[in-house]
Amino acid sequence: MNISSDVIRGYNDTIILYLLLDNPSYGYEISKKIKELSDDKYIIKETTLYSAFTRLEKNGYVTSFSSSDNSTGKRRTYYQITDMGRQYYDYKCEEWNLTREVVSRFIRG
Amino acid sequence: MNVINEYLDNMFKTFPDTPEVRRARIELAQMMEDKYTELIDEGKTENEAVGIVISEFGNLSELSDILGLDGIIDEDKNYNSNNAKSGSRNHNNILLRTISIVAATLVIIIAALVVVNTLTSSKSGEAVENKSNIAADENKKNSDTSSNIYTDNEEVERFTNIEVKVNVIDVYIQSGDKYEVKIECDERVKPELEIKDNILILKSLQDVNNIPYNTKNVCYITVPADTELGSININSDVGDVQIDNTLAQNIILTVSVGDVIVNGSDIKTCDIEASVGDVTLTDTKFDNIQAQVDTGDTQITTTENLSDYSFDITTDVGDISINNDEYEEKYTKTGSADKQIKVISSVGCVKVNY
Repeated sequence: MNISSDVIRGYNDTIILYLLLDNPSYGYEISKKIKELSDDKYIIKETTLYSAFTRLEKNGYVTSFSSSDNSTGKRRTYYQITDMGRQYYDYKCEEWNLTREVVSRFIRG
Repeated sequence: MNVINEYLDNMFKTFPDTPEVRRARIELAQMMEDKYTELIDEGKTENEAVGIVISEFGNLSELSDILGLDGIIDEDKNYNSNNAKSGSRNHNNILLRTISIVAATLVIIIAALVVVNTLTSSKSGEAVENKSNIAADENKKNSDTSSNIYTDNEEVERFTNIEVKVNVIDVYIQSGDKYEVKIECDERVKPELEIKDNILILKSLQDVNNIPYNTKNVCYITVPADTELGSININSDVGDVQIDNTLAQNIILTVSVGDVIVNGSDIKTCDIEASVGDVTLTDTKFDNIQAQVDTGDTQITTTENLSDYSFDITTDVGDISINNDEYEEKYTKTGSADKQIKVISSVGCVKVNY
């Protein structure tokens, strides 16, 4: 069973911010990590990912900068989390814990 | 990569030329290129890599939300309103979105044709030369180097599962007297066929670059009538998949560009992922269907009674019709837990008749 995009929609931003907590990263690296960390159960679409980056930036949760890859010299857009982004991330974690706790009560098995 | 750039060009044709749109196109190209490069490094063929990248691209509608609206777009309205941020969804843009998405459908179809065209030969001279050779060598059955047609028609040993991974071959599963496989395709795309542990495995080997357009590449897999198979797993880049009169436990179909037809069959679960192509199920018994159709219509017609099934059907652009009752965007109905019909359609209609 794979994740439903309807259900995950509220947590795309959270997932991306998590992957930016320790260091900046770029588009494909994030999409690859999502695939790996979810054991292939969530393969995020490029448009979803790009929309999320744009939204996060518009809301001030991340900033972006352009940088060249060390080995290939390819220029990419990197994203890094801001303090406001960390605050938002913490809020979403709390929200998720609450959601999970409440919904669990109605789940059998 | 050219195919991917052309695909993006076509996608973005319907968007205005603004800095945001330009930035989006560049960033999406970067991401797709990185993914493509890694897939190639992993050993995928150009064709497979392009198919995967395009099928994981997503919906234009998400982009028009981000690029076509004013103000701040909130994924989480509660948080942002509590933190005194203003932002509003512009509902009047729905019409604009719909128009751009409908235009995009045509663009996606064109892009799909671009993909097919890029995979076929631009060496039309060679194709013309081959036509006269084919006429002369009509009676030859096997691999013929001058006409480049490969045919194989053999009875095979018994198998219980089917696993197909092909790039440009139409796959037909049908019922007959015995276990048989018939392949007719261009020599250069001939797949590898083997039966291991009761699994029939059909795999495309070579990269697809120069295939004369006039070659129809097909493969027919015949199973004795009334024999139940375990699982059928077909992964196809460019080609149709048709399953007729087949009994199976599970069917998993992943088709990038091509139609899916399941007819007169009896299956427990069916999982279909179609990027560009229609999905049609007729006179087929099933317990569970899950389909994700990016661009194409979905049609389920059966004489079975589906009134106790659970339904979960969503479409971005296209109507939903259940026994001629029309719905827009979403139709859900709770029913039996183990009888389910779930369809996620991006651009296309969903019609269910029972």
